Amino acid sequence: MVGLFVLFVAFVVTFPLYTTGYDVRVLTTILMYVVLAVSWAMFSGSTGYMSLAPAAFFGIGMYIMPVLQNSLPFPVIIIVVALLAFVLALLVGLVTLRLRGIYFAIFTFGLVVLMSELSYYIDARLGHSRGRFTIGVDENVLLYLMLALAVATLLTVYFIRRSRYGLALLSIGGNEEAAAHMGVNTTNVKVIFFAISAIFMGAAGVITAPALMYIDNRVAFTTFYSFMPIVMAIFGGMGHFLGPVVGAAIFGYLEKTLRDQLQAYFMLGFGIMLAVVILFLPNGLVGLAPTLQGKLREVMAKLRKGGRTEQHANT
Amino acid sequence: MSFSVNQIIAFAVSVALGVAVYLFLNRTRLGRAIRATAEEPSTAGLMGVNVKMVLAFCFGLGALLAGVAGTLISLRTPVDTNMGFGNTVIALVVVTLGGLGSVPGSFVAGIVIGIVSRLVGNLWEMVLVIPVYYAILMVLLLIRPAGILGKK
Repeated sequence: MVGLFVLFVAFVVTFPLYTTGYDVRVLTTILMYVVLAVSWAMFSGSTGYMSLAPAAFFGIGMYIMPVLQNSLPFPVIIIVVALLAFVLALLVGLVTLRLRGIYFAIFTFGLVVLMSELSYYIDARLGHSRGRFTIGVDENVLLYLMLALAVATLLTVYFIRRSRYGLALLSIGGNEEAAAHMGVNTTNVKVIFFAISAIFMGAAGVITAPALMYIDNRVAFTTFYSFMPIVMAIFGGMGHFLGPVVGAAIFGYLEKTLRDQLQAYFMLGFGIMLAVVILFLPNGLVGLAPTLQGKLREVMAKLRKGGRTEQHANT
Repeated sequence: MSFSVNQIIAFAVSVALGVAVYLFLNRTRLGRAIRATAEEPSTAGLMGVNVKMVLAFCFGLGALLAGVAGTLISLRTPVDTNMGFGNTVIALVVVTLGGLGSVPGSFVAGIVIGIVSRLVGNLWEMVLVIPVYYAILMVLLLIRPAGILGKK
């Protein structure tokens, strides 16, 4: 596992040496989706509380980046936005996660629209401006920053999963009432880990902003960045820690490459794929692995027995 | 104050549908099955309710009502393929405000939200309508999550 990880990092780090700028951007986008999908699954996958907020936190990162680009160095902007996203997520969580049920999903559903309208109001009415151009940042730098963020996200999820908080999150997803009776402070756990997941989403937004060059409220806050990570995580499979990574890699690549060829129809394809996955692969691609392993074992066993026919009596 | 024909028709149809849905849920057998499933799906199943069909039917009924709403709105507003999402956000706020599962609650909340949107839009800023909805939603979730006519 560690070897695979090192291999992957080495692959990304050396990527710019033998590929074009376009490919570097594609890889950066894929890594962005990895961050979003993994950080979404970190909270929503374990607890079952469907969050539609990734676009809101991602959008904050995208929107604030050009606001601060002349006052602060890039890495500091990332940290500032991460804190902002954390605080906002805390706020959202404190209002909605005290309650069980779908209030959380309802609230996060329109959060993107809320951020979009609010930012428009603050800029257009109070600041008399609209939209900003971002400074240019070298795309290799962006690739490495996104890689660092992806690694940070994966490591965080890995250690959370192994800790008692990971178990607490899963127990909340299994049966929240029982978890509460076992002594898990469900509200605190939910709020804190929702806020932690928002950190990575916001940071991903900051790193993505320079690639888009022009940021206004409509560009920054689109529901696309909420739905895509969810589709990717479900497609990849939420049972396993790497499921969202697989889903994000596949879908991220497809999104970048198919979008140019199919334009509007690629979303149609995604929709169909999602329906197929939910119907036939509820555990996602990663869920296929045990099934395939089992089938492989059967085939191997049959091949080994080969000539020896069944002689066991059925008693 | 004058109202256009479109507005009167929209209002009349909405009221008629609202009453129809309320009567359906409370006076018919299927309505009772729906309410039972909403309360306790497993027990309803044991009592002979086909839970899967009930859920599918509810989804379809919701789609029907949304379709009618869309048609009514199209009488007064320009139509585009993405208008559903924005209205879904509003619908969610209305339903939460009215109380999940309460048809009269949604009706009352719908009227309240409609009035609020006109007030905010005309006296303050069109753009701030959604933020105001969210402010209302936040206050609601903090003091009375059940909604106006929701059961505790």
